[in-house]
Amino acid sequence: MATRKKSLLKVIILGDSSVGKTSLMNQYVNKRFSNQYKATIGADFCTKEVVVNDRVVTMQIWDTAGQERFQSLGVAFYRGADCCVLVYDVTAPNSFKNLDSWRDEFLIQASPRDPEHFPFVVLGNKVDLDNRQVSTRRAQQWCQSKNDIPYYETSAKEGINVEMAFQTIAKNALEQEAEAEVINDFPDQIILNSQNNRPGNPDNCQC
Amino acid sequence: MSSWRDSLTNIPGTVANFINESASTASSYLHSQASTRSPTPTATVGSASEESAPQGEYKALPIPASLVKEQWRLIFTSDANLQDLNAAIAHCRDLVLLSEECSEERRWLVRHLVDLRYSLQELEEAQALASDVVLMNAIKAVVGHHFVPHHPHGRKNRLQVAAKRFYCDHCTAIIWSVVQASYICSDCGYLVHQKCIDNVKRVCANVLVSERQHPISEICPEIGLAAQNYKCAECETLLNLKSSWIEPRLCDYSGLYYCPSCNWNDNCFVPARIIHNWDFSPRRVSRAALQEIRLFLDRALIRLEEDNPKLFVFVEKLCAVKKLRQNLVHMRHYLAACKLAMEQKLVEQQMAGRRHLAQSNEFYSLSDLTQVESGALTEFLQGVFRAFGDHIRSCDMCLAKAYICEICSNNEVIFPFDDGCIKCDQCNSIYHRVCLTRKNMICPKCVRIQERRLQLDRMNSTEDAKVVPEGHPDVVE
Repeated sequence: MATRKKSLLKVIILGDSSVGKTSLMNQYVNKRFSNQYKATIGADFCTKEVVVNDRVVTMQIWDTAGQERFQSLGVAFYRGADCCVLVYDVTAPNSFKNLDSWRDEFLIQASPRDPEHFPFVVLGNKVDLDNRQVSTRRAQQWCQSKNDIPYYETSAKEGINVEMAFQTIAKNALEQEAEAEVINDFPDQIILNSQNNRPGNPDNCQC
Repeated sequence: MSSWRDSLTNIPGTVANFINESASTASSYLHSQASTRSPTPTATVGSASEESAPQGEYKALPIPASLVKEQWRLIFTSDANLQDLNAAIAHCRDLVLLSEECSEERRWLVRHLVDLRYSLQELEEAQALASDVVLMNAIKAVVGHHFVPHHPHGRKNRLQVAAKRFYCDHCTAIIWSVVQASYICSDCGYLVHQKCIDNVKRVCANVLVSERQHPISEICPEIGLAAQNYKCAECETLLNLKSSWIEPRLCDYSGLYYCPSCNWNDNCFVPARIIHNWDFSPRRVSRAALQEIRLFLDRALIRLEEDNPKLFVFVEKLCAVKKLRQNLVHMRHYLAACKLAMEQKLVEQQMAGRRHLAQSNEFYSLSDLTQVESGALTEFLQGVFRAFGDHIRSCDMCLAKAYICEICSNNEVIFPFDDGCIKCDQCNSIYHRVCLTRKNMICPKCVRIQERRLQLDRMNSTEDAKVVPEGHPDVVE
């Protein structure tokens, strides 16, 4: 772990609608919680400076729309992500079942170098509610089957485990970077700009 | 005062009595009130219009027989105060709710309700202001028109209009504006002598437009003179083929025959001919039609593709406009989700009053269509396309929401409005056209979604199979 150029960690939060993605981000970044539900449109990000392994890094947290009707825009921002947070609602079994598809979609769209070892973190949110439907055991089993994904049970409302979960997220994101460097000198940032890239030449197609 | 009283004398029968009676109460009301407090000036004006409104409407749209009984509770005259009007409005509204949908009664009642509400507002405003100036500038409401005094030779435009002559829409005579007062309808532009104002028969085009909601879609739907009883469709003057003074004149828009004073042989394009034939040549239309078409001009109401889908094949310009508009719709999604663009008010700034062009690509207004033909619309839309594109390709947030073609997985970002890109109608994914063609136009994301759904179904069914025998052993027999 020698000197590293990059000190910006890109974290993407994914999950079904109304599982609490925006609330988790708000709780972590602003220490605020609101009971009102407002669907996120498209995507937006917040930044927060964190100290990981005695280093100050800026965490760029992307909050996304879970609702299908607000997913009318593209997800080019998945590219270059350092960590992906999968959120489900412990009171909604379907949001848990959909984690699989969120994970697959992310891997396809982000196409990381080493999909098998890309760092995910799973958060079971809303543990403050009484009507729990997804057991811890079931969630942990799923996480183990997917290459030991770290699992946390959180409550954005009460602020339970939020800080700790994001600490892990930051740590894993940073490790992923380190590994990436070992495998291959991390290339320049991906420039999302059509002019600098290929001029629409179909021969570059890899398939 | 006297002018409108005079005009009442030629109304036949009970209505005249009814109105005359109230007119006398009106004057007594005025006299009694004048001494005590400053009279509510528009109360008299408002009520004058109140009377003439039903009078005109009896001809334009007769009060339905079933409502004659209710008449005394609905129609008010000069002595109407706020309470009376409020009561009448409440009653009229109740009747509207009771009446059958789309019936003549409901139509009449709704129009009447609008008139009543307008009078009420006038009365309230007048009471608030309570000055004589209001009397001069008062708006007169007659058969849906809202007449305001017309000053063609006012301070501002004296030079410009000096050479222009104005004709009364009612009697067709010149308005000698130096000596004759005149009124113009603020909604439809109907111009009328003050002396003619209470005899106006043509219902305000604005009322018709809001009732009809869509320009007549059949090309000149002629019913023939016999069906019209050889009468002008507007003023019911008997038409005659012998005298050119009362010759029947066909209106190409409504397909009805009018007398020369209601049809001035104005030339105007006809909406139905544009929609069906892409024909912009001017045709002769009646005054009423001209005013109506003018009001429809900027309203985006025409679902062109639904009305005439083949037009897009025949008219190349239209095809280009359609494609541009589709691209703008995609771009608007980006701009609506971008804080920076919202702050800059990019959409308002570019589209001004024509936001419908980027909202969806189905509705066209008449002026859009004329501009398609002249080429001005394509130019306008291309300008907007460039401005929107400049923002989206330079804004980090918009770029983050671009797409990446998952088939070639190239890092180049693509947008739904890029040339050479294609969108999956089912899942909204964007691919390079060549890439998707190589995959036989089968969207890989849709395949995944399908597979996942099947898998989930299978999982659920196995879960159910497990649960059922455990929970309800009786079920398995």
